[in-house]
Amino acid sequence: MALHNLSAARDALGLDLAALQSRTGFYRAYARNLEGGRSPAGADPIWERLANPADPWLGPAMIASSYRTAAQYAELFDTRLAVELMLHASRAYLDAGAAFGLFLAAGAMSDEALQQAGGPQELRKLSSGTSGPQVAPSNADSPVQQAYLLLAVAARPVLREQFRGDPQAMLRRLSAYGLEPVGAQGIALERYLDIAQLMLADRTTDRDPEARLPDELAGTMASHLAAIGRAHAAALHANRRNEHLWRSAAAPVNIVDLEQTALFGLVAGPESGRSRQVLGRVADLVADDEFAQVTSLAAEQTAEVMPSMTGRATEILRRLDRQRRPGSGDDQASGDYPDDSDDR
Amino acid sequence: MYVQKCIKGVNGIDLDRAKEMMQDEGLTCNWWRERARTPRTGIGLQEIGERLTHSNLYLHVNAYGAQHPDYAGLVFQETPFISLSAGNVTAPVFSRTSTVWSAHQTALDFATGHGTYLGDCFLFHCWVIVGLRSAVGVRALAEEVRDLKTYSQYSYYQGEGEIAAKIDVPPSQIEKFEHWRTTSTGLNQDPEFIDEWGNPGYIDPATVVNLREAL
Repeated sequence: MALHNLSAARDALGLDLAALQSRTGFYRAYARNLEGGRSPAGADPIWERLANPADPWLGPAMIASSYRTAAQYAELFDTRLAVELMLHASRAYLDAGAAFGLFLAAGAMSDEALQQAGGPQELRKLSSGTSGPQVAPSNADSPVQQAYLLLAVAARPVLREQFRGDPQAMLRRLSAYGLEPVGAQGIALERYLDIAQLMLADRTTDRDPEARLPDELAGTMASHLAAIGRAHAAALHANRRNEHLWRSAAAPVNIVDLEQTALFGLVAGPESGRSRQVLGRVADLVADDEFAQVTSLAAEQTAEVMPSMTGRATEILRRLDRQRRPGSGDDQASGDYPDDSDDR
Repeated sequence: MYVQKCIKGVNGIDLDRAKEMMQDEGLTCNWWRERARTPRTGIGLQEIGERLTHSNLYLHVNAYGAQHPDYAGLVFQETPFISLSAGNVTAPVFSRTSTVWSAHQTALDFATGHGTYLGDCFLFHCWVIVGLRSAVGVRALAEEVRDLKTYSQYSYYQGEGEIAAKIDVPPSQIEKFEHWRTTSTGLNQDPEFIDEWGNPGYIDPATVVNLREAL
């Protein structure tokens, strides 16, 4: 049976609204307390220790993971809140030197919004390995993180134009790691590369909101996304076996997976015609399994609210909000953002 | 075998009781505590071997709230296992998974009743010995519970997630506890760290691992 929105998905999953709100509240509070711990002033000793561990990338990585998890629960009851939390996660991933942060943001934002929010500058920092003092060196070379970067570049013209490398050469290099499992479902990297290849082959520069892809290309893209949606659904079905954890929404599974939501958003694009075409094909392919429709619905609902959140996205990704929020504790809160005159 | 540091989140007790558990009793399984409560019989040594089975471990992990098929109570009342949170991550793992599951976060989540509990709660820091292979019948060894197919948030690359200890974790293996308090639940919760208490009877696992220092 086809689901029409994530509220219907919540019912189909048998999840309680209050439990989902509690999960979001916990992970958001955890992330905020860690952020507070990054400030030397007024931090609780425990948060200070957790937020400032020996490995400098680990603090922002924990903040990013916490915001990501909070966002994944929020997807099922408040899309705007979910997007806001996703953007905080994106910022923290970038602070940890992970291209996944740019992948998340690009999956939700149009080219114009990405430009405004500093997406091209973040791309340059990631590409040049100068993401700041908190970068874990190994992140930059990780095939998985490189694949996220490639997917963002392949999908968004504003990033493709700014990318100083050769996407095809990157694709060839990464293909050597094709069986590397990616993300929570352990999807083989080669599937992500196949998707990147399709997007790189799409040379459409027509940004007409009603423009559509060639039917065969849309079908191939949709079949990849449907396979990923089914893998996610299998994990959801298995986790329902433990009713104790499931009812508390505490089962160790991403009920909505932001990674997949971003991937669907990148492939479907911000243009409504193409998005309806691709996600509609996905919906047809997974019509027999309600759980396999969750990611597609999350991508659709994100695309609906995002245009009205461009200003907020810019504030969060450019850290402008930190300058207003006392005790936010980001030690990069001001002064280190690249000069906007570098925009081209 | 290896030594795994873990954290256990507990609520429904007060500060004095937490100190008793850390210094005198240790962490005990629900089966032990149920028996101690009614009819106050305790568990027999011969029963322990009967309960430490793969099927009971399966039920503990996958059917915690269900009726136990062989005993009178629910699985969580009859279980001889104790769930502990384990988690740490290296930069290469984070690069592959984009996720950090910290033992502290998971334990605090359970201690606060997944955002529904109001009042004091406690995080006990302890260590257990884990076998490299499953040894469910060996009481002294904890089990790594990492079903990657089902619990897909856990990583392919790292022993993170849940450790199941058996029967009890003695006080000598409990390093300290953190005292937390929650005054709100739901979306606006904000767990507050109160204080930390050390265990004077704690034995550092460095004294039992395969490394001898030279003086």
